[in-house]
Amino acid sequence: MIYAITPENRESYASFIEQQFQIRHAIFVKEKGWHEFERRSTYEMDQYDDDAAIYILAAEGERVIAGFRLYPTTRPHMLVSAFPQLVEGEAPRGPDILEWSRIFIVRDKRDSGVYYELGAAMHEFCFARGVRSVTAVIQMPRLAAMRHAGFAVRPLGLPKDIGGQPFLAVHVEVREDALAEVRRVGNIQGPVIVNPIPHAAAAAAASLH
Amino acid sequence: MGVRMLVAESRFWKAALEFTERCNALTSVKTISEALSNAVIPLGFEHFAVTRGLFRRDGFSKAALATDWPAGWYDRYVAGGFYAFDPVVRRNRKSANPFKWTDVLPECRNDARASSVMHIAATEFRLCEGVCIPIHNLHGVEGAVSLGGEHVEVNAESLSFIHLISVFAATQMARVTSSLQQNLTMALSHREREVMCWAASGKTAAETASRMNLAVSTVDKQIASAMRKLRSATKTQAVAVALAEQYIAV
Repeated sequence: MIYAITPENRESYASFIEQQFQIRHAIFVKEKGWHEFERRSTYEMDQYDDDAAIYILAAEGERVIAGFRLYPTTRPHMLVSAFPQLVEGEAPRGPDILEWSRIFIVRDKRDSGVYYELGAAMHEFCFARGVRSVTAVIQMPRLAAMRHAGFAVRPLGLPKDIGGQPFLAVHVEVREDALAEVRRVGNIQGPVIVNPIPHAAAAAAASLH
Repeated sequence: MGVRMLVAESRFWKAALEFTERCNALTSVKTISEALSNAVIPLGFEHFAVTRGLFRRDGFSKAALATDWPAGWYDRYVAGGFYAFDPVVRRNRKSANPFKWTDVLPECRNDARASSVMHIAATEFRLCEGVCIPIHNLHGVEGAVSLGGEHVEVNAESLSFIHLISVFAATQMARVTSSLQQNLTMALSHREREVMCWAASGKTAAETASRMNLAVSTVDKQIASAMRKLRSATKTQAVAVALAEQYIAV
């Protein structure tokens, strides 16, 4: 079951959001060592976990098992603030472009097809909201996996070494054929997001222009 | 110095962007190979191999998606079983990042077979210098693009360029090679395939067990594992997927 949690419906999913920060702590702080984002020894959070963040979370019953974050590129965001060196020229920004980040899957679910479901969910959500593409900063090993999953991915610069690992900025176009391909590869029959996707609030939409 | 680096970088970036865009439109391993070859020859990389499924024990010929090797080297490599102890292949299995062929030389010191592969490649086939780019799936390394020549230009910028275009080329080759669209870590084992074949022809677990001379519990385990790999909720669904994906035939 995948839930789209936006500023408009976030109140209804407080426990999922709370769990998400704890799981991100286990994965990004404990496993990957991103200590600068540790909060109160139990959460992983950064400045983009604010009132504009969108979370797409996969849960089994009450347990969150995977998810990711989407963030407006009309605001200062990770790619332009933290990784400008990864982009040749101007980073794609706009009301119909979101930044895709914090993709995680709990350890015991990494052998399952959840990654493909997350990919399908990203496409579904974007179609529902009129979002045409997403940008993301990935580690190079992830590039082949994204291409195998059928994502329409385009590099935004050459890969660059950051802390001993090659990173790449990518622009992923949200396309029907990409959604069809990720569904085929992941053996996914239909829509994966189970809750109604809220319309963007008028105030938020206005600030984008 | 700074300016020269910037110029080099923008040259490589332009070439990489052009390659990645063109690559997506190519529909055969041959045309993708040619594009890769044209892109790397100016840097001295005259030869390359693209492999997928590094953990297969059935040899290099099965793992090779494409090879553009000096005449004679392929036959020598396969006949000699070099794939089993090639130190570049060995390093690739545990390496997340690109590395130079020369990086593996220290570990060849006490390994006569490994060092002989490097020696023969360099002395008889002029494969003296090169780089290896590991290609990953969700679970780890699943293949490689290994490129080399007599003398190659490797620096941070050229390596970034080669890294990026190699991933695009290898994944595009996989995409256009229908039999290789299956994720190899998800592919069925020989025994799972056999069990699924019997299931496809309507045999029960007990019948399959007696035909294959196995315990029923073993057959059940093989079926469960095949169902998991085929992401199927039932045995019937797994059979349908296995047939559709051509893991088995009836």
